[in-house]
Amino acid sequence: MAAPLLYTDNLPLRRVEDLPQYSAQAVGRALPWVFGRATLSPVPLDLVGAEWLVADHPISGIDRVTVGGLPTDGWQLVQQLDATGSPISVLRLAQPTTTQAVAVTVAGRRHPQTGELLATPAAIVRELLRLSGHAEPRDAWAGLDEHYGQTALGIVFGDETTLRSAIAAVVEPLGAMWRPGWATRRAPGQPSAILDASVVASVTARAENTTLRTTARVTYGYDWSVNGARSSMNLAAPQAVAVWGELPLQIDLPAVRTARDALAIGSARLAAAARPLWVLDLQDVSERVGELREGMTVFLNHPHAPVGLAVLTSVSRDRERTQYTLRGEMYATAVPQVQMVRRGSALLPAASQPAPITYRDGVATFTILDDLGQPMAGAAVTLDGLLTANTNASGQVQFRTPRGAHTLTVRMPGYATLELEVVV
Amino acid sequence: MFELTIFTIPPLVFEGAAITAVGAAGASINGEMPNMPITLDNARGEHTQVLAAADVLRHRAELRQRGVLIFAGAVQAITLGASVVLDLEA
Repeated sequence: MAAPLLYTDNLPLRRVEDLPQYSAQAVGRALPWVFGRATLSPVPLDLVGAEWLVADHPISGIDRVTVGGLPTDGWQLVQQLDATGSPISVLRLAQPTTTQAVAVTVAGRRHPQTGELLATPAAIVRELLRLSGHAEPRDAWAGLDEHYGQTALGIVFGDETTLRSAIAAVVEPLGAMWRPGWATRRAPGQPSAILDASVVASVTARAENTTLRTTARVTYGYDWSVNGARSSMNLAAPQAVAVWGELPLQIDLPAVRTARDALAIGSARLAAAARPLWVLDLQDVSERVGELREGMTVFLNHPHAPVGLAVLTSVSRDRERTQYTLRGEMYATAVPQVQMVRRGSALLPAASQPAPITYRDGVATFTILDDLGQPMAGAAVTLDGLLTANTNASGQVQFRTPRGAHTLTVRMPGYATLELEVVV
Repeated sequence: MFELTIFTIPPLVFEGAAITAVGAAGASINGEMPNMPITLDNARGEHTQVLAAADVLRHRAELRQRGVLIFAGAVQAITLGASVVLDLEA
């Protein structure tokens, strides 16, 4: 058996040139691995645009297919072996296209034994490691199960990336700290040791204003077919805003799918950023305190440092001197309150046909769809900056206008204003 | 004789022997002082809990010498230990 990949090695993604037959349009593209539910651009396999590779492995299913931004039912999922004997998932379109953008929302890779959709952070990390040749102990990454066992992610690995970066892309946006085989939430728990002046010779604690943030823009629900987040929310820590003013933090959660998870993770990260963080450096700590490990919570009670619970971020042990050197983090104040200020969805114009249009007797009918392809009722639509009307329950709006190129401006509370170039 | 005032609520004032050094580590060659480290004696930990509890970061601070203002800025960083270093940013 080949040696496992190093964490600094690239993921063993195949490229389209590894297939015996492929479309020249797709040269250079990696064959994607898909975890959880995610939307991506499939890889064209033929010249007529009938067959598209969705994932370089079996998948749980396809939730939705859009062609030119419009949902279609004319498709079939074929799970087959390619000519090299590797299982691939292929989308077969009833109406082939070479000119319109195809996007597929996929329920991705399954557990090799149980068949379960691999969507939690722990399941994704374990599978990445298995695919990279690692045999992990059963209890590895248990911290991810403990703290993020209910978090469903959707992520696509379709570009050259190292194993370390791939794991970091799953784990770090959650606000977790990790090292191979181990991860935990970056928050204090029950103290495992008391560090006072009798066991700590020297301690310094440093806090800087550069880490303080009081509001957050959270983006989540990434769409790999357009390389953009589809949803966002704005959070604020009002007490911190009152003291320090608005200091915005950008939190990108590309793999997070639901507003509930984005709110929980974004709130925890803003709550951490909205208070001073003491970075602790403890020298010559006696081994009498017992076994210390990274991620452990300790109670610090030393005259030269703030008193309270600290999380150890680095532990090094000098066995000859029977002493530890420790680094840790401690929050200066209690957890601040965090509120959601606003939720939004990005309106993403489809590549070739932004809105379905019909034209009859001098009247153009436009259908405005939201980011999920659902009709958007009540949106204010302005034609060429002159005429404004609201969409009906079917997302439709009509204007009497001559044929030709027009500009539609769509406004809807909670959405960014969108301008569409249309031809009727 | 230095006097450091940090305008938290209530304000914190350090003066006399408490201030052991006033540096200009970030002084540029033309005489501008973009930042100013101020060191307080903390051998017995007398300032630790006051400064830890006061959330001094980003608060306005003034350093005076015999009543004359020599530096005004905001607290950019604080290091607690056997001595306390407050980095003020102009």
